[in-house]
Amino acid sequence: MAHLFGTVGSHDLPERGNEVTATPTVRRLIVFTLLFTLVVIGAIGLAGLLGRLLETGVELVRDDTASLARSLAFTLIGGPFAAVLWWVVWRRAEETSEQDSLSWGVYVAGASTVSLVTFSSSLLFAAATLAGGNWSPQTFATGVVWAAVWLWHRGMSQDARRRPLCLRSVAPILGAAYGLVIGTGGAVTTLGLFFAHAIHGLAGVDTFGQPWWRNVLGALVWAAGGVLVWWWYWVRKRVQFAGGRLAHVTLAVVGILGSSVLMLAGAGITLNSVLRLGFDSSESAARILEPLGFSLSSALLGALVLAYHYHAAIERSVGIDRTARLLVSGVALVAAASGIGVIANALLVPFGIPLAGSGVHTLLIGGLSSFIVGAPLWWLVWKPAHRTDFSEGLAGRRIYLIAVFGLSAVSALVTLLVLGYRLFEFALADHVGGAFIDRVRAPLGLFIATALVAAYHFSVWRQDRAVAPLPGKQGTIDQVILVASGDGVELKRLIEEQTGATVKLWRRKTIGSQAPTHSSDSHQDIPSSGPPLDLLAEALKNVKGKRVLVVTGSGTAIEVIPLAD
Amino acid sequence: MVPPQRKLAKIPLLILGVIVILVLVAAISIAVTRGEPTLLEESTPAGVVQRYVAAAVDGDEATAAGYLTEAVFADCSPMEQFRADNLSITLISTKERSNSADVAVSIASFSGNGPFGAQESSYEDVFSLVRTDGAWRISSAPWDLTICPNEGTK
Repeated sequence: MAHLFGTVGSHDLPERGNEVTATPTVRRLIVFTLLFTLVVIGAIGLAGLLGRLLETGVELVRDDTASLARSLAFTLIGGPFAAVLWWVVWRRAEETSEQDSLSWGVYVAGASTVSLVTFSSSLLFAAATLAGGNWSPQTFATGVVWAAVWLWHRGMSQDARRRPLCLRSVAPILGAAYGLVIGTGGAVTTLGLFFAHAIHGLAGVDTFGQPWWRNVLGALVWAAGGVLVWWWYWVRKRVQFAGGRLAHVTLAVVGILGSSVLMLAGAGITLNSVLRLGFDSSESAARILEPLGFSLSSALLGALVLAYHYHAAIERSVGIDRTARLLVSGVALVAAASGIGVIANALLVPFGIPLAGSGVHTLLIGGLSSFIVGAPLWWLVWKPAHRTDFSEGLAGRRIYLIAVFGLSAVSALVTLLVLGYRLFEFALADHVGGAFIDRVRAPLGLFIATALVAAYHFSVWRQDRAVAPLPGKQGTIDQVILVASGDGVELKRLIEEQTGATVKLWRRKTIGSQAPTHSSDSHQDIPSSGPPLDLLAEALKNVKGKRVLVVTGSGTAIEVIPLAD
Repeated sequence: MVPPQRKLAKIPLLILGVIVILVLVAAISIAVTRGEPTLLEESTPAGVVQRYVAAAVDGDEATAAGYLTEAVFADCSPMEQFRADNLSITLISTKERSNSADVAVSIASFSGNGPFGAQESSYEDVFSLVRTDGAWRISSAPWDLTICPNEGTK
């Protein structure tokens, strides 16, 4: 982060200084954008030519001179220019200022990610269609060319003297996330097709058509490829030990939020199908059983991915663990609340005027399965009765409570509006009494559910506030600029919790080694180098002011400097 | 309360074990119920539909045409022949009345070309049959499964 302030001109410098520091940035921006564009164009052209070369099928009509001309133009003009520009960049990359620059890091990270996604999806697509009996040379050629681009950029990022120093972990993290998504999707499809076929056989449902194992094979290829990419980055490139905000956010969103949604959706649909098979006779068994294979595999694989990443989150730090629990409890809460709403809706059906057919069972079973799947998980993860780790993670918990309360209050308001509209429409239009219930039961059910959720979370929030007041009440400082060596995160958190101020962290440049990006001792209590926490707390005790500068070093020296406005 | 880490580390392995067991169960059940789908009675509407679709998927137009009514012959116009290599047809339900019947089928076409959703499009349609001379014949078939034997003669 310190690099950012080095290259992008600071606003406080005088005008001339501004020009001097801004020009290289603009130059680099233009150069790297141009380089990226030229590399993409050259790769597209080369892929087109190579695909043409590999095509061995019988040509019936050949009238596409346009595409050949485009491929030739892209390759013969874009390619050499890209090479020349790259050589210019590569020659300059040895300078420290160039190595340090943000644009260089963005370019390598962006190009690596784009080439990884393109080559892996092309090669996997070619392999999957080959398993289905078709050979597509164009896709294969695209994969080969972009694989070469990826290897080239990988070589660039490993060159000791010239590789970028910024954003080094972005490409591996994004690569791991992409591999996880593709691998999970492929595995869900594979297992889903497999289970569906088995269920069809067991239930005596007749299917005929193409052999089922071809599709399974194709999906298996995608699953294997995705898992390979994920393993390459997560294990081999040690992304599982990566620190930093992007790694945590990606882990939280993809590994935990995504997998919990997948798991709950799959489990809900599975339970729904099973219950309907037993209690709802409105549709034939074949139709009810249709989604069962896929939903079963989604539930299982979602649970697997969630359990794995939950464990990984706990291993990292307590903060991520708390975030993970809040995310999972949020998703489970949505499932349970919608279940309650649909159940309430279904319970009101007998009071209406049902026409032919009864959809009560279907509706009721749907609501029940959603509730049964969501409520136990929510209870397990939220654990309202055992709030032992109260003092830590208060901020995250408060944000969660306020967010849930706010969202549910908004939905309750909307359903109340719909209810009011229906009420007045009914009163003014003089319908029969039972029809009113029919029009009103859906928003009424939703209103009951969201009102319950809002009320519960509001009461929990009130209890929290009664026990421990907001830290901001003690705030005497508005903003703290903290200069620390090493990780500095612990110091930052202490200052935040003690003074309630927003803390901006500037890391000192350590001599002889880079600032650690893969820090493995981030879960220790005492920073690896820096003053002890109680000394810092003592130093900040009676400080007042709008902005304060706190300078710490590797020893115990602390300087607290209140700044003028 | 955070569960002890050792206990938590076993959960992914547990789930993996459950998946493996289910896959084995599914494989065994597939092996046991494998083989040609049981041929339904030709005297039932579902059986007629099954034989018609099997013949059409095989490309055997003569046999398939034998299950259609005369009216269908006269009226049909050569449309696109359906692509038999990517369809999977599932019988869903049969409604039989005294002289007519409806057989609902689900027609799914796979593509198998992406990591998500190999089942690209699946829709339901109905075969209508009428009883002529004691046997069931198809009077209307879903678009995708219509054949027109007399293509060149119109």
